[in-house]
Amino acid sequence: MFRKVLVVLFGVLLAGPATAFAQETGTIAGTVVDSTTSEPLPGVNVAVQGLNIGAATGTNGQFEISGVPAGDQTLQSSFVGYSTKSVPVTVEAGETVTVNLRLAPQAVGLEDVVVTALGVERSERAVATSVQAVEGADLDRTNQSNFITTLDGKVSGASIRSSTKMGGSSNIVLRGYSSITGDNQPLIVIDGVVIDNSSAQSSGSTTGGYGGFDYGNAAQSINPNNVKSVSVLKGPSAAALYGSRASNGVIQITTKDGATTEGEIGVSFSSSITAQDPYGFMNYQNQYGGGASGSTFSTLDGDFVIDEQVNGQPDQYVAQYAVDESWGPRLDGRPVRQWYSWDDVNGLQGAATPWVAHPDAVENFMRTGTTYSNNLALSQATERFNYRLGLNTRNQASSMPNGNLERYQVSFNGSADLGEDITATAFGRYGYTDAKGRTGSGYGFEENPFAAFNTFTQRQLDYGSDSYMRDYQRVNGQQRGWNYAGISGAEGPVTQFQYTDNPYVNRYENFQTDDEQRFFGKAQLEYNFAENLSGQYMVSTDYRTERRQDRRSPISTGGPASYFESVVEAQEISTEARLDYNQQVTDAIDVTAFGAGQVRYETFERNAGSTTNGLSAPGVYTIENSVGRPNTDDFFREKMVYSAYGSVNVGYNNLFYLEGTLRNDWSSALPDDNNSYIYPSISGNLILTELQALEGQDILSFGKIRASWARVGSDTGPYRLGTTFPLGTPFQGQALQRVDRTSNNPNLKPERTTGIEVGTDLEFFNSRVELSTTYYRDVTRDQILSTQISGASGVNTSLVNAGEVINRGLEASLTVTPVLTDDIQWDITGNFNKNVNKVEELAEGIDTYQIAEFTIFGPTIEAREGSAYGAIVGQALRRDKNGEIVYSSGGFPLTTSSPEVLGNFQPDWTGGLSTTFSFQNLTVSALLSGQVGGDVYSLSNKFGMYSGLLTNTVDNNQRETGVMPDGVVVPEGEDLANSSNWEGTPYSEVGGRLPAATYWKNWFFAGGVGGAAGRGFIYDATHVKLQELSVSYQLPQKWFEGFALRRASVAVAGSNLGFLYKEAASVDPTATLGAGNVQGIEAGQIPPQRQYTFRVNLNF
Amino acid sequence: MDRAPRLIPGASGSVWVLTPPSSESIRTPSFSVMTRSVPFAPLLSGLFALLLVVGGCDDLSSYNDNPNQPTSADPNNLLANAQKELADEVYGGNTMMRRSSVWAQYTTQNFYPSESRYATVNYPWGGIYSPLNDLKQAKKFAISPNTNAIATITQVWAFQILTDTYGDIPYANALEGAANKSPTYTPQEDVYVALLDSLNSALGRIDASQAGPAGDLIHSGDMTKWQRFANGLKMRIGIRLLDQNESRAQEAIETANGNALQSNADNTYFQFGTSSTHRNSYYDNREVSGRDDFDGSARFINAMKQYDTSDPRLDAYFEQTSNTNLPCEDGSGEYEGFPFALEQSNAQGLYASTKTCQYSRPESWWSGGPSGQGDAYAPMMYYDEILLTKAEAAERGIISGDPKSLLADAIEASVDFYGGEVPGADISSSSPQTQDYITAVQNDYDANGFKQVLGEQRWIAFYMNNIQGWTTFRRLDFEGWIGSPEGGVAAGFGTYVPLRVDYPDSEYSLNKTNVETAAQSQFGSVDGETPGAQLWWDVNSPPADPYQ
Repeated sequence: MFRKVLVVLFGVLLAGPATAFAQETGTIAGTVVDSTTSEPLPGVNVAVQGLNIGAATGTNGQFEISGVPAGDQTLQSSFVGYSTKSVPVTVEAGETVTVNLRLAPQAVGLEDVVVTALGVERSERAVATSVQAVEGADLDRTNQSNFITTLDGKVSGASIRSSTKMGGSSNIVLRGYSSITGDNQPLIVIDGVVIDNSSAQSSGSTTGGYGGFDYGNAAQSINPNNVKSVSVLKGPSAAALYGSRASNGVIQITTKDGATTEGEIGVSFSSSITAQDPYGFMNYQNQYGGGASGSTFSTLDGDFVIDEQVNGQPDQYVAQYAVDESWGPRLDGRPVRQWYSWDDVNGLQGAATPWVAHPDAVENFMRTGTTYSNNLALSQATERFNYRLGLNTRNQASSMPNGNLERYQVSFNGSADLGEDITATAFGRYGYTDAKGRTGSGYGFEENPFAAFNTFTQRQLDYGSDSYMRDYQRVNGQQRGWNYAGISGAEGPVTQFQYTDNPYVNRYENFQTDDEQRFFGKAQLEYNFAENLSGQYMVSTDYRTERRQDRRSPISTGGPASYFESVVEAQEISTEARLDYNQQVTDAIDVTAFGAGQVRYETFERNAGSTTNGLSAPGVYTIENSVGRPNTDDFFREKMVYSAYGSVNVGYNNLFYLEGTLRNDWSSALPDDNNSYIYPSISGNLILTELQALEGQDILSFGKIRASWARVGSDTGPYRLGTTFPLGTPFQGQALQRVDRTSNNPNLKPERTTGIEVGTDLEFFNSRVELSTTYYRDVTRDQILSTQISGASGVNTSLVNAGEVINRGLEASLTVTPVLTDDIQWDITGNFNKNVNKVEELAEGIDTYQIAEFTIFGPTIEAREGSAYGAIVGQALRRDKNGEIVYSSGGFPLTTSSPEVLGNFQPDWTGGLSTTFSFQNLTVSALLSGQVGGDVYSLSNKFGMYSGLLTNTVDNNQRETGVMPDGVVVPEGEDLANSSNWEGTPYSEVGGRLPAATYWKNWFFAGGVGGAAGRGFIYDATHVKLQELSVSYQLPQKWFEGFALRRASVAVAGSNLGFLYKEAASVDPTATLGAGNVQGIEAGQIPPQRQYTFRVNLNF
Repeated sequence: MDRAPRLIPGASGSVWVLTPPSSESIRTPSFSVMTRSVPFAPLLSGLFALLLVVGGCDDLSSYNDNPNQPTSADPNNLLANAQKELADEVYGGNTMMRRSSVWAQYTTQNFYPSESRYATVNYPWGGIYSPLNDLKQAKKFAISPNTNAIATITQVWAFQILTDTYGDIPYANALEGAANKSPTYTPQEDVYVALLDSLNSALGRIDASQAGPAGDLIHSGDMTKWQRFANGLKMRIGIRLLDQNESRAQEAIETANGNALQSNADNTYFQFGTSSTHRNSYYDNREVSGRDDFDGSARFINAMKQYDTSDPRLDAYFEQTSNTNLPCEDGSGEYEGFPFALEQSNAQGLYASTKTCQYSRPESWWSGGPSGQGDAYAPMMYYDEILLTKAEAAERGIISGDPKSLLADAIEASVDFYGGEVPGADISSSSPQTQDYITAVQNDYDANGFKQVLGEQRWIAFYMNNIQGWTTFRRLDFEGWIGSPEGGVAAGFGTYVPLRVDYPDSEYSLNKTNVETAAQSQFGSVDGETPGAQLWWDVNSPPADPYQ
């Protein structure tokens, strides 16, 4: 670094004398930067046209060409992946002209390199499958906690749902759901290391909305700052070489290495602060307080009349604490004995206080979350070695009280030439994550305050951090809360609660903690045997250990104190030996081929324990403190897979490419005689622009058509072949064993997905317009299905190979650069995917498979023959010929007796629109994402109306005047079952207005408690969301010339900024309760949070 | 990284070669280093790895032996598990118990009355069939004939509950696992006969001189008690069969008479544990979660108070009222039920404006009673049932005996049992209250006949043995107490109270043909398969609705 400084200093000193001796020539100097990022570009050739002089830019993008003849010259610069640029320059003798060049990247340039399966870098033209690349810089703009979220809107064909909870999961599905019961998420591969991305929460109860915690999935531990690029391999063809786990596609991440720095040690540092600001709260009403329908205040002596005195004190009104609904008296400000008036904690004992609304109560309960993130990287590259060492810290304070998440990571990426022919490469990342107070999800009243806020509560309550609620404990240690079981429950010697904890008890007493350590990495040796032949050997691992602790305080209402702990250790080790061969066979034909063998070994261990019957010593959260015999769960699983695979790619004259791949896996999870499965793929592409017919035109600058066919197999988890008799928790010393309720199958076969795709990649007008389109059709057969069978068989499910799911669709990606000048570049990119998914066939005798047998008070989520996967099924509302809802004479919405498909959680199409505008050092970018179609069932709306919490339960003065059902009743002589044939009699002619509570409760009960009232509480998830908006500024280089600082930039970014359009009332339809196959359910949703990030990047 | 291939002659190197783990060290793959000096060694080793991969597949399956669960079962463990799970299922707070308690109108929900108002119920039966399958496997593994007999008797008890709940049920082809995924339905009349045959064969197999299995959680292997319970079941089945298959019914009652339960000491029940894993889930709901969803039903409590002298068992069945919140019993000596199945807004209004203890909450099954710390009894058969059955059989001339004195014996036995079991219930058969009450019942018997009075008494005696209590109403059609919810039944299935339970929804998706055939043959059509339809043994329509 000092040397560089000296050079610069000397340059300045020498500049003077030089002018004295070289009168007839001058000097051109300047900097070459990327026009979109304003980052300096090293290694760019800058030449004076027509003369044989030029220079290459240095590390900081600077160049200097001396001895340039005076006069008008043309300076030309060219660099791989960028448009060539020519600039006229007038050189004056003895002078130095400064020319700063801004090179515009060619998004998909002729010689662009694409990272295909197994990390193989191929020239873009040689790739025949659908691969979409995303630059690391595009992911790193916003400081998202989950890497997957940053892909939203940037990858065509990806449907992404994210958690609104701190550290929660993100669910991504490429090209629709294909496996009925298996994992549908793509494989994540980082620098060749496969990462276990299985959602850390395996129970369907969390995703079904019953509560619990979302511990996130591995994708969130990927630090976007370390990512150089992402390559999304969509569909079986692109991913065939990855084998059985890649049938859902692969997200392949290449991390930054040291190769881009030169010689000295480069230091880059970035620091950011992010604020998370909750928004999108439900439409809560603020006119009526807690109480039963039609209730008035009772009085201290219970006679409903304010008498003069009760026991020598003035009589007072008393609120109905026992009722956790808001059908009570109007919030008219009268003095009322409220829940906090029964003890002396707030100095209000015995006081009646105004019965008023607190409209911001829920908002005030939350706070602005903050995240501090720091990245420091050292890198160096010499002729013999290069490396990059990265350190990352991330400290998040949740937007819910008493929650935080800390993450520390160290990563190393390096390679060294050990000899002329041997290169060693190592990559590793160690991360430590520690969380406290994750927010519970769903309808879990002990861990998720929003379960109460959105479903069962009283609207006059104040929850803010300066409210009386915050003092959640009495002097004697008992809980204070609002949901007392009546007056004597509040004032008795032992406080008695009806249903719900004080939300601060949730956050400060029932909190969970967890920590995780994870290491993944690889070591690789590469050896060049001959000019055309090289080999490599790699060992890689992904190891994690995790501990989760969940506590229930003795002051919580949900039973005695308890403690749960689980420790998980999971590891995957694989080794791979590989030979690569390439040969230019003739002038026209070149061949690239490789063959490899791999052994993969996976283990997973869990030791979990939970206390029973309370804790002996209060406040000591350990398993041995259990009063009863603790429940324990020890589990171990292992799996071994052997693989052999290879590919041959033949190119002809840069015009035509043909590639074949073959892989065979042997899996320990399948039966001995059927454990081998082979999957081939073949693909070809034609570079249209190499055709003579297309020469000499300047419209189509690049054109490619491609087609491929592939078959991918998939095995299953271990231990699904044999019969076992699981043990239960012993009953007073007597061991319990049962017949396994899940019947295994000794004759399982691997699943098979067959995919075809055809597509084109076209670039027009010197690559100013780029269009990539793909049509695909993937068929998954022989699915390993745990099918439900009649309970009368004595088992609940039976494992079979059956079923067929088809996904077909169209993906398109269009990039236009409407403006491209020296100073300005404006790009617009749109991504689009329309996927049609259909469950063609299930197992014999079964036409429906319940993905989620129970969702919280809701419909089932099913795979139904003939419908798309993810059908939301329940009883449908009866409608007459005109589509009017049919009510009973009592104002009860009537539903079909048998369940019908009411919706589907998969969208009809998804899209994203992004734009980047750069002007000199300033870059502005924006991203919209959205979807059309798809549905979400909302428990918060269902109960929010049932309990009178939402504005539509007070609109039009309905609490006073009632509601007239907007629909019809069955006309005389007609049969309800044929409702679509007749025109109903308007309800208003038959029945009167219903009390508001009756009206809304009828809606809840219609079609049974789990019926979701036809489509009443199922909402269209169509939306457009402003996903990202960012401004970054590259500080002018001249500001810190002479300092060790090479370049610096500042950026402000916002993400998840809000909905420009959405159909679903009150809730965020893009949020998920967790990754997995159960989607489309909203329950006690934590409001989404806008994120505002300010960041500084410094490079030394 | 420089990827360009270059050739250096004579290169050699040390290469890592993978050795697949041997079956002895299955958890950790081992790696060994091999050093070769031959120039082509690296090339060979790559191929070698491939060969290993292809050749090493045979021992793959050794990785797939499940280390987490046993691959064989002890019949004791299966028997114990089945008894426990069946009790959970039939008497658990969130399963059949909870609903059958309002079918029999013993209790009512107060704040959320949807189940009391007979909203559509989808009660899946897998929870009963699965432990029945455990019993089947226990018999398969059993060496001792006594184990086999206990498993069979427990199966009969549960199968009768199933058929009395639904009607025709999968029986002959049930419990075959994946080998028969859609079992056919057996008509109820055949199930009944088959159950009697099973009991006879189990009785023939019992060797009372030998100890029973250690896994018996009901009678701790006391085979004499099992003999008596089996005979008691014959009487229960026989009396229900009487109107349709008189000869088999008579034979069953006659052969069992005198061999069934001899005293309260033979009472057959499953007692839950006190650990949070094994206690009764109704206790969890009420005492642990602090929910207060159920009160005594005014209809049932009024029936117990119908004579000048109240039924002494009120003191064991319910908490006394008081003008307080919890804890309730303050010695008022009064019992008051919550109005049965009010409409929700009325129910909530009433609930919210009164104190918790203003209405009597169920007692004997929960706190204070034998439920103690959640270890309630799941009643399967009590001695007084035998006496009541004998009274009816005597009345109908099948056996000899005096119905009225058997009725008195039955009430005495029941009162003594609860007096002995429920702490704080100061009741006994010899007390004047019990004797006055018996006199009143006997007078009523003279006035209104056995169907009405034996019906009422069986109903009262079966409190918390909900399915049997509900069945008593369906069979004997006693009048005046059980009727429609206030304002009529929310779900329109024709009758004011369920007479059976809809087949589970899952049968219509998983076993469609068979369930439709069963619906067709019993009720004429699938649409006719409703909770309002009568079972085969239920020969009379329910009496007039007393609340209309």
